[in-house]
Amino acid sequence: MYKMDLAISDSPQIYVALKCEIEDKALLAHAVTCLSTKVMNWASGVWIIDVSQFFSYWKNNAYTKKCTVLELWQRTLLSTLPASLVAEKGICAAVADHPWRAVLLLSMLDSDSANDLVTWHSPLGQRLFYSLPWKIWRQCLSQLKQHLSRKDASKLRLFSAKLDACIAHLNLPYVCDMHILNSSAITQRFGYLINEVWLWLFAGKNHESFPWLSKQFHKPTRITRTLDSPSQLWEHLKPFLRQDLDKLNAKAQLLANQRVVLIEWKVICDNLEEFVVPICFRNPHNLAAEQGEHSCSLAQAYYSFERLTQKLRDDSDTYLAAIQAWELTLSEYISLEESEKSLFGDGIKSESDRLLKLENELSIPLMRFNYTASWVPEDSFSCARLEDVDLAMLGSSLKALANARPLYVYKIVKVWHSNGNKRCFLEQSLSKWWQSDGRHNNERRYYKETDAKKLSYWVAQDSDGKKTCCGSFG
Amino acid sequence: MRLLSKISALDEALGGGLPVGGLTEWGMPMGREARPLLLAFLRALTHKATNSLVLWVDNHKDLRVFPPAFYAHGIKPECLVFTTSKAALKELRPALLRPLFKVIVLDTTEKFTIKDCLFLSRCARQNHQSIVLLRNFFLSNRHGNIAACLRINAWRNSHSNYWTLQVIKGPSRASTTVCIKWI
Repeated sequence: MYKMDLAISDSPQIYVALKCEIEDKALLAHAVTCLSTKVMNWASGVWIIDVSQFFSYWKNNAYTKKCTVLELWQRTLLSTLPASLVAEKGICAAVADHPWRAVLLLSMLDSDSANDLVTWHSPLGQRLFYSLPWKIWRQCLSQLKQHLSRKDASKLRLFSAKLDACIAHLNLPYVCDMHILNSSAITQRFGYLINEVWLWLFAGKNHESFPWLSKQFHKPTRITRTLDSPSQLWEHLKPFLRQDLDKLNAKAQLLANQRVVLIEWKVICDNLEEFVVPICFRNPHNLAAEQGEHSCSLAQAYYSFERLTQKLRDDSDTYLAAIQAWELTLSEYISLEESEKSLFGDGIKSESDRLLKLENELSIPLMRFNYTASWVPEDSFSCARLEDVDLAMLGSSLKALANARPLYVYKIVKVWHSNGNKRCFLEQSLSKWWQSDGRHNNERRYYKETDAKKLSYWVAQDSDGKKTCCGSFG
Repeated sequence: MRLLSKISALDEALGGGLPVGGLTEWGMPMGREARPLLLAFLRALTHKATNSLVLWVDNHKDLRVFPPAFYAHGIKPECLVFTTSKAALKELRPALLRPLFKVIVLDTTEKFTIKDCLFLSRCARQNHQSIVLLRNFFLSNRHGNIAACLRINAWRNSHSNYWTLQVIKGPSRASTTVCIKWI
């Protein structure tokens, strides 16, 4: 039974590894923080940018500008990086869902002297991965070693006799051939660190074990408050928090093109317990534009505060003690290009801008989708186009496919028994057999089945005759 | 003012189209294929005014929307905004209080009291928008709804291009059969 891959993540994990050799510190800070303020200096002239937090912004921005996220990043990098650098070397960047994958891909691009913005899952990205030599793997491992703790660094061996023997014995000319090994065998033979690296590369997992070290270019702005009378009631806290947001805005002296993404509200209770309540914005927020009001910030603070109190009740059946003091920290913000300023800007103009502002006030995300170039239902739409596909060419056939499909689909398909239902054939297709592990049946025939209650369902049948109910014709 | 579907039989059955500035309640159990009727109004709206936004709120257990099927009915992807909410009135309050969306469709299994419906009706009137409440059951006269200006049951006659509309509250309290050819 396959699962419809419909869990659309609000903030997917996306990293950009960028080659950027600039000596001037101010210019460097401006260049590497143009996509996100969460950056790490991986090696000399190599930066990893964590775009996950800001992806919603780029996605919406690309949607508004009718281009792909990748095109927009390319344009932004071209306009932010010094002209002399771009003219001489172009842009050399790699996009992946794990920082380790991004770094490896960038190293491959660099070794080929390629100047481009390449994603891990693109055909070029995959081709480069399949031809990744052990030399580059070791070079990246040596860079990784610099970021590990002393204890871990001593355990990570770049040239292990066991690994070399394994490569020779199993005839593994490229790093990608290592996928035939399994996780437990790697841990047993080469140690847990190599296993972690193996998981980063082949599964894109274990983000938390990656030694991320954020580079702070500016000192974060902080505001502290001690309440005269401690309270845990939101209505009592709200006016003081509003005042402090005003103070934070004044102290931070944000430029006209700077937008806030995260404010950390650290509350200290009268029993000296401390909790961090993150005030996250789905879209970069103009703090100055809400001076004296702060409806978006207060709404997001309220949702986070509610979640915290709920969590305390659920986890330990306790209540939040009265809050005695707090510290507000302006943690993350982004500098928009001049051309982007109308978005969430000083004067909100378009419907799209209003929609983005509204989303900052809501506790749930709003989503807009697009077709993707795939005939398989579960892959036929996405909430953001990272790369370009010729939808103009595919548009009519995709529409024709969707015409015979239902308005609602099951999150997890169910085993189905027909029991004499009325049946109408709709389409026949193959699943993406090259992506499966060969265990799945690849042929699918879709039917519309109407039961005795006259309810119509979307039913798939594989070549073994096994039926699953995939959706309901609303 | 009314939103037109450009399907004359459908518009006539509703007394000239979908009312703007009011709450309408539709009885359409999931699986009876009545939702495409509503999509006809959304298609006409998004083609007429390209900056018209529509909010589609869903909350069906085990089910989620399949956007390409909505677009295949002719609705422009950039105009249709989806969200999933278990408590729409609480979670979407800022959206309901603003005139950003021309149409808000609440396709949820959440229970709405008469007070909730009156609030929705007031929002629709103030914001000059159309709020559509889709019920997962057929409506009847036994339990009325004073907040809704139009109450209607709809279903597709199996495997045909004919839909039946049964007006419970509205201009003409009669059953109408509407023929629609989508393709």
